[in-house]
Amino acid sequence: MTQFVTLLKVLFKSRYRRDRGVVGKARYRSLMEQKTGGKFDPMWIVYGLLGLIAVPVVAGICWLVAVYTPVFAANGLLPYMLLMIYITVMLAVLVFGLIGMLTYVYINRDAEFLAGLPIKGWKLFLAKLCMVYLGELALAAGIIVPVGITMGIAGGFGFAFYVSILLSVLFVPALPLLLASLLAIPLMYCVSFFKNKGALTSIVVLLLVGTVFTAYYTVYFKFIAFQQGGTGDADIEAAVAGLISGLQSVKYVLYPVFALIEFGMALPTFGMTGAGAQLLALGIALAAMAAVVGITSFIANLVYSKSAAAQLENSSKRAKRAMAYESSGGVMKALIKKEWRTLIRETAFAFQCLFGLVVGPVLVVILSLNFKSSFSGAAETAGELTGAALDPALVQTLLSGIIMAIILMIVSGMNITASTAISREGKNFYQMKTMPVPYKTQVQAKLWLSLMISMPGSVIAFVIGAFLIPIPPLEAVLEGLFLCVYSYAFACFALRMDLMKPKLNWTTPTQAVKSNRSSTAPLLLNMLTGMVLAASFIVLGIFVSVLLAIGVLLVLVIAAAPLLHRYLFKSADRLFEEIEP
Amino acid sequence: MLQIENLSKQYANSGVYAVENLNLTVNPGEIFGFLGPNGAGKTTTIKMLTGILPFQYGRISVAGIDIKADPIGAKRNIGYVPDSGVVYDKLSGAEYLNFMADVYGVPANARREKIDALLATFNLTDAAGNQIRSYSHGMKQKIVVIGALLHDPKLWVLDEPLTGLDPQSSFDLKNMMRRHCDAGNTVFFSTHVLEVAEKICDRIGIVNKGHLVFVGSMKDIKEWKRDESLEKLFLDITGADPFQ
Repeated sequence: MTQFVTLLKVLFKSRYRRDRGVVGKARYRSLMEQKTGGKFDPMWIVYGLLGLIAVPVVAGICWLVAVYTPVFAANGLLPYMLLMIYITVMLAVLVFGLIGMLTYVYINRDAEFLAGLPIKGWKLFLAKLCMVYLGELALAAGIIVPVGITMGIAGGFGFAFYVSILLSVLFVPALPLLLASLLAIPLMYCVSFFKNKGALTSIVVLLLVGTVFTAYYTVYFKFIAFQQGGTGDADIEAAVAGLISGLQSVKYVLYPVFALIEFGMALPTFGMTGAGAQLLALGIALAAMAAVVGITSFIANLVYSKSAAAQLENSSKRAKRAMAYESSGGVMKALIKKEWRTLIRETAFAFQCLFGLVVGPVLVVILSLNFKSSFSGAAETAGELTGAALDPALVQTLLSGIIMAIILMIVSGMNITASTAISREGKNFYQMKTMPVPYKTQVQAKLWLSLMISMPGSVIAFVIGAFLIPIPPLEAVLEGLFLCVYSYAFACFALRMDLMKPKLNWTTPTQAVKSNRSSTAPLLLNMLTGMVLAASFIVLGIFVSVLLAIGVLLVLVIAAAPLLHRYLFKSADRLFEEIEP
Repeated sequence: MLQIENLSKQYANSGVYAVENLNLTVNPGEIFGFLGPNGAGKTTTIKMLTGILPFQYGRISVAGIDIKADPIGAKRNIGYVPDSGVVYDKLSGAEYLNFMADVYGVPANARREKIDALLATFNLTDAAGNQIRSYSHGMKQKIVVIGALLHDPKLWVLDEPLTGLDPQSSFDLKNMMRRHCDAGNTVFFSTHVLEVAEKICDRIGIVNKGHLVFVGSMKDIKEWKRDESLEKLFLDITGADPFQ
């Protein structure tokens, strides 16, 4: 047990301790002492901004829960509402946990070091699994705790309910994580036959994310449409009935979790009622969870041992390939090719950089269809009530604004290719400085790669939205142009941020993208900017004209783009020179 | 080939010089060994002359090109092999070598012969199609060496190049260094293995606490210290107590 705890502490520090290390240390410290006279960490500003955004979002979700809890309770559907929330958390944990399992547990650079320690394999595996679990626990707690407390208050539940919420925070992320550790096994086996394992893993994970998001939002909007009653879909009641029936089936598969709900809400369990039923439900939940944890840990540990052994033996039996002598046709192309290959073949990087590209179009399709129905329904109702028809152009403007917001915040904003362009180099950065290629050219190559991801993503998502809404051609062309120029401007800004203080001293790829101010600050700023721009477009479009609204936005970005371009390239050489790997 | 004049580097606001007033000339055709205890400034010096680290004072010129005035021109003449063996391990050996050939401007028609020859020398032909992350430490070191030699650099800079290499590869690398210099080029390398320095270097330099305290050939050492070994000289100069 002591060994396990010691190992856990080391892994925790290695993963989460702030980097006070080598890169730019002297310069960073001198800057801090000169400018602030103390030890204030600007990262707190970023945390503060995160809090400012998170608080209204969480508050909004809690408000929805408070409103719908009595409605669902009256229909006897409250347990299923809570189960849906748990399933939502589980899906998120499954997706992010799968990536964590692949990049931190099964395939990791510290396999050799850990294998040499006098610690049994199952302890190593459990310690690593705990590390991934802790990350997912934070995600689960962030959703379940506020929602659970709100539901408890709105539903008038007793002490047992809050205990069940606490237990569910621990259990709900555990199940999908264990499932992820099993899902990773066939995934790793399948990709082992292919040349570019890293790239294929990245693509599979992204497709999985896209599928999960599509399925989730489809179900979610069906549910909301039923509540609003405004979709005009004749089969919506049947669809919701099917959903409830589905959840009733699912509860048996997820019985350990549903048993917790039965315990918390004092529901009958196996025909029993009262305190006895609650204790029985709690006992079933704990025992089932222990069994699931034990069995899955046993299986996954076997795979971990083999995976670690394979890594250490550098087994590449399936991977003998012929040598190719290919010129890329120039230094810029060679740099971009190298950038792309190193990005797509590292699952953690590929997921973070391409996430928006996959999810953005999915969200645009789903939101376009569902909001279009909702607004049309509302327009009809408003028309019936007021006797005057609601202007369809108003609906179109609202939808355009929403699509724009999604593309700006998710496709452009969540694309961290530019904001981690230098950080992703890590310990390889020295090669960038020794190559006989001007620093500006290398920065240009990184910028091009970022644009090659964000621009097509924005255009594809926008074209889909423009087709579905639909948006008149002239407006569509101008809006598309706005999104492209915005992508360029944002990429220049984000790359400059990373040039100023890159995080090169990382040991896992996740560190390069997560605990990195260069990736977090531009992302937040972009989200805020995206919201403001989209809101401005909607307001100007409704109260003045859409063309004027687009014109104003276009003028703004066309003015900003060259300034940000200059902001990046004017100091690129100096900043590059100052980075000391 | 390599001229270093009054080179000094001070870490920001610390007042400590990593390297101070270093003056050194390395001629074409020389293998120059750069020795010193840990933390003496060897790697810092190497990083400055390869353009990785900036420096405040002094001048470095490679093949007559000032590294500050024309960094690109200077870097084109340098092939650098770091001590860490860190390389883009998501690329295959072939992809990495093609990338290096592209950035150093090795023509497409010439690279096949060069790459094949170097891969055969280091016994990496079969592994070239695999991702570098599947390589052993020694194999990674070899692929980095090959990448640094593709463009026939006039100055070959190696930081602890023999670490992790098997005896055959070490032998081949030393031979390669000699042949490279016999062709009129220069090799500048740092090492902790004094026997290697004694055997293959034309001249050596010993750095201690940021200062170059000795430069000369083995003959100069023997004349100065009357047949004492390089090891004894090294320990005397760096003030190390062999029995501590």
